[in-house]
Amino acid sequence: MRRGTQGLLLALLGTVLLQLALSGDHLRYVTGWMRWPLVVCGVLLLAMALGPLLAAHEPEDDEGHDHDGHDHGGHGVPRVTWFLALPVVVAFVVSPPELGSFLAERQGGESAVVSRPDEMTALDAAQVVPVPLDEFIWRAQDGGSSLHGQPVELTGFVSYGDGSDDWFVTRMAIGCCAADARPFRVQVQDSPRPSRDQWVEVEGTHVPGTGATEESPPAVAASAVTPTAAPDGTYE
Amino acid sequence: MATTTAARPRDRMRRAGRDHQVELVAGALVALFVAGTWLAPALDGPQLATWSTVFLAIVVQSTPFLVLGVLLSAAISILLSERVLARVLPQRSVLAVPVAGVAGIGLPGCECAAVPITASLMRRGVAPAVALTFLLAAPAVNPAVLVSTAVAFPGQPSMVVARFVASLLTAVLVGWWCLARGSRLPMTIRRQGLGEGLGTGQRFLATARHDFLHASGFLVIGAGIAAAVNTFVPRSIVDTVAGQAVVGVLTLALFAFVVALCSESDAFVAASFTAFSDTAKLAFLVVGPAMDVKLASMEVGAFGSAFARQFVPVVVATAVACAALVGWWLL
Repeated sequence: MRRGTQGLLLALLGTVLLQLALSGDHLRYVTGWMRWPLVVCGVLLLAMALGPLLAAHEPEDDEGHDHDGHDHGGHGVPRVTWFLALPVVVAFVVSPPELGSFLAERQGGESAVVSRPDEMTALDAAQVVPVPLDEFIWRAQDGGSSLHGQPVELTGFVSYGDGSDDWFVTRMAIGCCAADARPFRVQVQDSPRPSRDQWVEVEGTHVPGTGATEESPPAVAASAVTPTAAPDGTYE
Repeated sequence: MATTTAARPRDRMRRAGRDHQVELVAGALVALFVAGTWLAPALDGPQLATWSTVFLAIVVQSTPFLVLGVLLSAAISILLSERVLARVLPQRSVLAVPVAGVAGIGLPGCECAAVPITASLMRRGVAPAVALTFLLAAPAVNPAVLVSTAVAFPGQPSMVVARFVASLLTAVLVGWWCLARGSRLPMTIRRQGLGEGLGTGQRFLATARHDFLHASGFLVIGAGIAAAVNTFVPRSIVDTVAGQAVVGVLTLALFAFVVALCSESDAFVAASFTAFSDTAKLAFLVVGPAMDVKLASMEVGAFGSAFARQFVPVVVATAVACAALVGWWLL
């Protein structure tokens, strides 16, 4: 690979990272705190690219120093480096969406392990309270008594279950990046199922006794299901 | 670079292609981006979309760590003198191996950063066995990983202790194995000596760029394979063997190898394998940071494929054995 091409691939990868971090699209792939590391990394890659890009048309055989023509048949970097173009193409051409119902349904058989949320929502039986899905699942596994008679609002996308009418309000949780995503699912009862991946707000109450263990998801008896827009960061 | 003087037409064409490679590649990419507007809907299957998301996620997550790794490794190459290293590490490699393992606590990064650092430590004259011990220990025993393990296994501090002990043990045992193999380990270490005659700053940048270009292609390949496993192999498939003690351990160990998760978040995935024994979960946590498809790919790039063919199986086997032993003892 020529030096100029090396510089080009570095610059494009740096641009991808910068573009993702500055537009906020990085939240589709990684957690929020990665934003500034990505910006710094993008700038560093552009800085690394500058030298070889500027020297792209200098003859490479004469310089000898900066060029690394050793032990790879004189080509400087291994052929595998061409693969660097792949993430660039994927980012710009496919621009992959956030994870949705496909992976959630695929992983539906897994048990939902939730740790105790750091901040608990203040519940008030007199009104509908928005509750994050992981907290709802945790409360159900905790015996469910704190949810008794409490109208809640759950937000997530729609994924389907095995039965012909089964559906879940779903969020994906990521620890580090989308590779370790796990679904949090709450089954919705008493409401016809919307189309897959539609974001919805579900109002309802916990069905007592459901979701008491990690093996089965809790259920909510829905009083209202409203389509809504996806939030900025879709992962919990 | 080939300095062919032959002027046959074919050579001349190839030469012209090489001379204008930048423009050709840039043109091809632009064409792809334009074509992508029409191509993208055709590629819109949920499987391909999920693969792309996971693939790009692994690359986006790993690249900053790899850049951190090549910067640290460039700093080691250029700023750290061999004398300083010799003073920090014990003279006898047998003792230096466990010291390197414990030193892994100090690098709170993921495994991608560790590979270029290890290579540059070797170029600085650190014994390969010692540097490889650091490579195995650093992603597994650093505080960030231990804290996330504690969060994922609430009320089970023995899991954190077991992970620390088993990972450190794996690193040290493999280190001693490398020491015993000595020169019979077929390792290729790239020659140092970029940019002689340039200023320190430029040499630093050239070294970092060189290391990055060498490692990143292998990282992309590993990410692609891991994303495919993530997308096309449902995790529930491994649940069928959860009840069997030995097969359960081997299955989760193999799974850790192919899914190639970040060591800082793999504990959450391990915790979700509720049907498996704690020892099997421990095997998942010990094998993953020490060896996975992404690391193996990067090690082929850094140390040669002949080396990786010996090193990779030994690390996996040692990690499984250590996890089984420590699991039986502590869990």
